[in-house]
Amino acid sequence: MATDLDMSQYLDLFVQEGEEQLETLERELLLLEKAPTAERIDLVFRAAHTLKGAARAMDFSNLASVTHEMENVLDAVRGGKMIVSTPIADALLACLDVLRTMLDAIQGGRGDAWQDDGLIGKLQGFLNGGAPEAVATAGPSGLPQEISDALSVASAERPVFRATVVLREDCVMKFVRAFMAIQAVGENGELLASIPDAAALEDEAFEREFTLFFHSDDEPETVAKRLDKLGEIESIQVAPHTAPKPLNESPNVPAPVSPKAATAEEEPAAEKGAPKGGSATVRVDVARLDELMNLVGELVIDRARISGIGAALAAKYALDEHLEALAETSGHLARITSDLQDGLMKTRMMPIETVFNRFPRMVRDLANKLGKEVELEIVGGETELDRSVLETIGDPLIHILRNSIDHGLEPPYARGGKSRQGRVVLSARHQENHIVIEITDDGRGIDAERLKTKALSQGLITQEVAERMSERDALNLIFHSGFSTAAQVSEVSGRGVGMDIVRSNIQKLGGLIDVETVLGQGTKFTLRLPLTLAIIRGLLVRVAGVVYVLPLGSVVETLRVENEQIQSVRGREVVVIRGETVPLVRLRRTFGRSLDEGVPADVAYMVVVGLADRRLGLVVDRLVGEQEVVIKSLNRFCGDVRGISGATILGDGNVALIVDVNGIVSEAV
Amino acid sequence: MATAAVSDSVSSEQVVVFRLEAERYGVDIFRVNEIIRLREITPIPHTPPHVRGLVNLRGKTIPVVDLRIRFSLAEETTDKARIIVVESANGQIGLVVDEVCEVCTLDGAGVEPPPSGVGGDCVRGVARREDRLIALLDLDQTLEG
Repeated sequence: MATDLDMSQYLDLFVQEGEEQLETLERELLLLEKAPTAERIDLVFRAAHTLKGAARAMDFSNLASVTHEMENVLDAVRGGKMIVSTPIADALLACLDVLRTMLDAIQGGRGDAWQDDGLIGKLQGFLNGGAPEAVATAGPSGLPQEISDALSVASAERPVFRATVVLREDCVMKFVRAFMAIQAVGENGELLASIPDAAALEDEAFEREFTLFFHSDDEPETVAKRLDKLGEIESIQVAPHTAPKPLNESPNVPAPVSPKAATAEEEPAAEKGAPKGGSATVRVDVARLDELMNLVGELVIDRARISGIGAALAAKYALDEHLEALAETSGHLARITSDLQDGLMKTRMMPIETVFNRFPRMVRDLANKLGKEVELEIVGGETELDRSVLETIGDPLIHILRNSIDHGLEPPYARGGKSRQGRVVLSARHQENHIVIEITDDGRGIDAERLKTKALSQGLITQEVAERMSERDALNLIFHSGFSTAAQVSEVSGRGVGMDIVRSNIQKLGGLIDVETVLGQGTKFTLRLPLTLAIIRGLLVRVAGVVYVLPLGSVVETLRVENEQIQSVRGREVVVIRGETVPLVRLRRTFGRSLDEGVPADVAYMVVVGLADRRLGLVVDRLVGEQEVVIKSLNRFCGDVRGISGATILGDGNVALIVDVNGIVSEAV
Repeated sequence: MATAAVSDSVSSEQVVVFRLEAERYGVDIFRVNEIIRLREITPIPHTPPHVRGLVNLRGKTIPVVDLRIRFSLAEETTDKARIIVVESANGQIGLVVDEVCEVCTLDGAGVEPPPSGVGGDCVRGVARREDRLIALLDLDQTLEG
């Protein structure tokens, strides 16, 4: 199609905004199914409508036609002709999946090609089954009743304007102009109605003239100027619209009652981040943030180096007058670097709801498939964490949720004294420098004895191990690879992969996972994750002359141990701390260094580290100090090194290795 | 050095020449990023002995391979020792050598196939220069092991 606009430059924006509309659609559709309200229906309808308009303007006809069919159904819902029943919700959600695939394809440059597998027919079927189309009756102002009703209600709150636009005779794409005009009036306000109606505008079912009714925080002249810029327009008239018969005796054009605040209230939270006029946010390319983060990482290293050099100089030239200035400057540099780091960290933070929002849909589909009734409650969706962590926790959470619903929750008829509907709570909160995510279900709980029997029969553990196993250790069997309790392998879960991958993924992030259960009452998974992966606080220790970094997040305490405190149980070294037996690992041995090099053998330091409630004592030669370190991955040339999770550069400019505490604990305990 | 006459089938190449004990080796100059002084090397556990560890190269950590150990010579560090930073398939890697001697242009015609045994698979050819032999390193083979 010939067009005077170069659409390609809008493609990214189109896809981005399309994805936002889809998110809104999905969230609101799910709510609509449960609790339909007029505003919600409107919101869903508008989102579909905007998407359709944008798709038309960008010439994606398949995308536009799918949204068009959705819109027809939604319009019928809005008109009270039908309700969002489960089959209708299913079909609408299926449309969203199709649209999402299309957007992905469009972004990948493959266009919006699509093979209809009966979805459109299904949607149209709902409409044909519904009541015959009500004929719009004309209201007192000569406007269709629907519009005048809408306008009189609307004008009770805020001033309403009307814009009459006449297009030039030679206008090529009338609907594009109309769409752009709608965007222009909606920029600082909201479109309320139009003559002809939106569908007719989009089908180009008008001559050259159309009228838009809208709220706006801008002056009519401003709106007119915006419209004037669109081109191919012959004339524009923008004027306040006078409602013919105010319903509740409010003045025709009410005094502006803090229009800004009203807008803020009406804007649903989902639309934040969208580039509305007057909004104070910017979109930033993620790669650019990553680049900045790297630079700040370098700065953090240099800051540590400079204060190291300063200390060395101070030791050498104690009385030099410049030293004080150096110390002062280096102190200031340190503060600024910290602030910069904090600021950038905050910039990279995103609310966890960006991940959580995917779950209501998944849970609903899963519950339907399994014939279970599930209520998913999400708490703390606004909790923020670094996007590097955010990107990696989605899959583990999906696994856990699926497990909770598939294995945890009973079918409605088998829930004993509990309500038929199962309940899953997904919550997130900050705790110190970590984020804690809990997935709690009120299902049947996990039977530790059954786990043992199962593991025994699968040959994962021996009889002897099973007998000694504590309930907690038995529960941890679910994280064992190849372990599955599902009697039948279902499509949903029970393939014996999943929880072990969940645990290893979480450990890779430097996080912990723990499970608690009460038989018959439910199960709770607790995930503890660092807020960021880029910079951590580390405890520096020396082992056989080499400095290593232990992530402070997993350190429980540090102790001095004398040789006689170390005992041997079943060939393993342990220490008793406050009545608790803690197994030991000598890092010299782990890192394959000579055991008797340099340090007196009778005294050593022990760093007690914890993974969930498992404790392990790491024996080191000396404790060196604490420092903020920037994590760098090991070079590909070195591959994966057992016991090491990365490297960093210390204040003295030397490289130090970061100990993979989680790996060592899993291996040893 | 006078410009070597270039015949149709033979090209010349520039190499960085370094020394290991008494022997001279050359690496293609286009694979060399820079030459740095020996600095503190942090050992990495569970790696082969010739992987000496990691060094800090302006805020980046790069692995360092000791060519003496790689070629089964006695472990020894001299004051003239340097790290030649080269580009490999796995990113930058440092090579510890006894001394960096010069950069020179070799006439392709003077390069002979390696006599068997010298440097194993790691030598792709031998060049003669002022009565000295220069073993041309095959970097990828050298870093393979």
